[in-house]
Amino acid sequence: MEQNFRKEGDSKEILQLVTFRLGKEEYSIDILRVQEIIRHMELTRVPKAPDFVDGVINLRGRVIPVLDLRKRFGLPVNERTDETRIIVVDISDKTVGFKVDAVSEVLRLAADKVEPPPSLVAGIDSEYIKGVGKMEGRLIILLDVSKILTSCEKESLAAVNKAVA
Amino acid sequence: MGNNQDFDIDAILGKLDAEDETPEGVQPLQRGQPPQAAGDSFAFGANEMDEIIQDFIVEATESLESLDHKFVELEKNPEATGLLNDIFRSVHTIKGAAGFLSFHQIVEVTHVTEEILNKLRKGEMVVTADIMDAVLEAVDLVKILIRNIKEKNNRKEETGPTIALLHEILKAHMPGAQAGAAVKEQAQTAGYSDAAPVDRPAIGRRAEDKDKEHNIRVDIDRLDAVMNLIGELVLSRNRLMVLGSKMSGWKADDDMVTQMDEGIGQLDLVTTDLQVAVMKMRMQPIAKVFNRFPRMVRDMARQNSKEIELLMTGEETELDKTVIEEIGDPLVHLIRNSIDHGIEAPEERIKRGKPACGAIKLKAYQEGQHIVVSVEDDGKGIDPQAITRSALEKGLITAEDSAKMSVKDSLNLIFIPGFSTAKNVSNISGRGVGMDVVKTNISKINGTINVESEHGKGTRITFRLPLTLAIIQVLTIQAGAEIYGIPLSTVVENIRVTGEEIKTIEGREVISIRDRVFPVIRLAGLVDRGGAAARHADGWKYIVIIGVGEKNLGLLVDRLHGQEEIVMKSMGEYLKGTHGVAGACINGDGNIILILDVADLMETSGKVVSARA
Repeated sequence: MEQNFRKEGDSKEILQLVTFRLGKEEYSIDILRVQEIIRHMELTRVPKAPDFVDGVINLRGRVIPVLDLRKRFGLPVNERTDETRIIVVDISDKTVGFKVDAVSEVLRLAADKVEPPPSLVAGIDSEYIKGVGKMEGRLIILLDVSKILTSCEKESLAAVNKAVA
Repeated sequence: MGNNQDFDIDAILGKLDAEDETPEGVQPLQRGQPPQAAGDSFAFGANEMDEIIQDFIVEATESLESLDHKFVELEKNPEATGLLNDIFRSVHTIKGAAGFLSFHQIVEVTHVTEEILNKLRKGEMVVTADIMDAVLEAVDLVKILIRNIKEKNNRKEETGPTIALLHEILKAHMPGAQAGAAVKEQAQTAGYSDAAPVDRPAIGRRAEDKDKEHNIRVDIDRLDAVMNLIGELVLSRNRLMVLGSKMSGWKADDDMVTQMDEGIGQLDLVTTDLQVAVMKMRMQPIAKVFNRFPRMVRDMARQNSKEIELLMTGEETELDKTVIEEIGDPLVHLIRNSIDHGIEAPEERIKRGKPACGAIKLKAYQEGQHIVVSVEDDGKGIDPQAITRSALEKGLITAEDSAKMSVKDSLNLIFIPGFSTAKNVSNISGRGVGMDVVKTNISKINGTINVESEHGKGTRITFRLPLTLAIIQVLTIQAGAEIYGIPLSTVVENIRVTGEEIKTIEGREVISIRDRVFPVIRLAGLVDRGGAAARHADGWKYIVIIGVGEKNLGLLVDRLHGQEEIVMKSMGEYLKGTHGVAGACINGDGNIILILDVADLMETSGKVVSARA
């Protein structure tokens, strides 16, 4: 499975991306990071967790935190709709869900269509942006999932430290 | 992996024999370096080498643990040649493996030790307390050396004095050719050749093979993974059972429905059995903890010039691994207390008409869903009056309190933080941190502690521990929209209150119950990040008094739901360490309930108090 992707990627430099919407912007993450995409389900809120942690869900017996990407990116929080989805990603033995407005499609994008990130995009720290892909007049922001997590951790750590001090 | 290990053992033993003849062969290598230079056949990659070293550490640590126990046994029973052979083999195996891996300090120490053991084994020397002291010292040194390897701290230990001491003993008992050798040369020149008969390792190997047939080492993570899967299986079963009962409600007389009911019933049975079976896999005999005590008691009795016999029963009693890991320190503490404060000096004992040799009884047995562990001594016991007096002097209780106290209440004073009756602070105990720590540790693993003592006759302290930590009883409560679980073992009582009963002292909410004042935390405020929790005073609420050790706290909740038996799950890598939450569980309908970490809640509330004070 993984190897097939690699081979294609190597020969034609094609990126396979899962795209989703947050507000009007289109974002995407590497498909290999995505474990599954689920409908929004009942959350259990966690006291004293960082603000952008919406709560935890039961994913077939596993307890998985769900991060609201809107809150994470400082976008206004909106009500959940029928389209709201949770993208479950697997990043080095951590499994985390990202809450997004809607998941659009799986895209194949030639690597040469991706440009380096502009210095500031839609209020998101460019740290987690790998690049911006252009496709038939659409602009797709490529996110670096592991960066989102690590900067989350840094913040929650700082919050914890503040609470202790 | 399996093949690899077989090869390791053969290689180690093969090398061991070779090394007995030519110890110098491995000398040029530095400790910790892969011994590639030792020969082409031992050219390992760095990873393999690391694995071999890890295996060595695990095996050596295990055999050293059992050694302590065996040595003390040997001291009591010096004629037991079987035991001596056993000890000799363990030491020899460690020496061999250490030699193969070029841990020279270990080789040096074990080599002399082994020599003494060999003499004992052959009857050329007799076991005495002095020899035992020296040998035990050597064993301790090896433990330290192995710990250094494990921690990769590159520390060099001073092995000289111990080795010199061992040689002293050898010299004293065996005026022979080696007696004159200088200490620094000894490791190299002292008679390696007579150290081990060739057949010895073969016996060792056979014993190991036998073990292998019955035991395998499994990473605890794998067991946990199985545990999780079973948790999921249980959930699926529950769902099926709900569906099944709905079905039979619709079509009670349908044959298919009856058959399905049977099928579900069977699944129910098997799942429950499976859960129990996996739970058992995590169980370890309490002997793992008990084994270190004979040695400890022996050493401390000698230091204190007391005569003490340690009687242990129920070492085979099994407990969950996590519980085993937690009870070691509390037990050490209790036994130290018994030796230091409990058992009197021999003369005093005789004066009181007791046998000169004091006894400490360490017992473990199962009682229903609990394991009971007790430490009992026949020493001077605890004087309830002395305790009350001392607590009064320290201002821990009021004169009024002391007048009302029963004997049992007085005894329980020893669990108050900062309490210690010892007149002298020794290096063993009496620093005033003690029993409260023991109590807190035991509470942490959902256990309870009980003290009985008769002044002049002795003391018995009993722990009641849960069989496993994986399944716990919780009280489920509702606060705002959330449902939380509180470990039942920490719940002291539940009281129905109205909002007006909660008073404010210095900006902090408290409630007074039967003349005791408890700080109050509004659970609904936890998740709404403070402030947002509406402080409406109308309607009945509940206060759940929780306690860890001697500290208490009231949690204000909206409703009490009930008592449930739950399987605790971790919050996952990402949210691990969230304050106030110990873990989560999934209830019958698939929702997640968070389990509160009571100890952590108290600590955090304590911080608030001190910050405002």
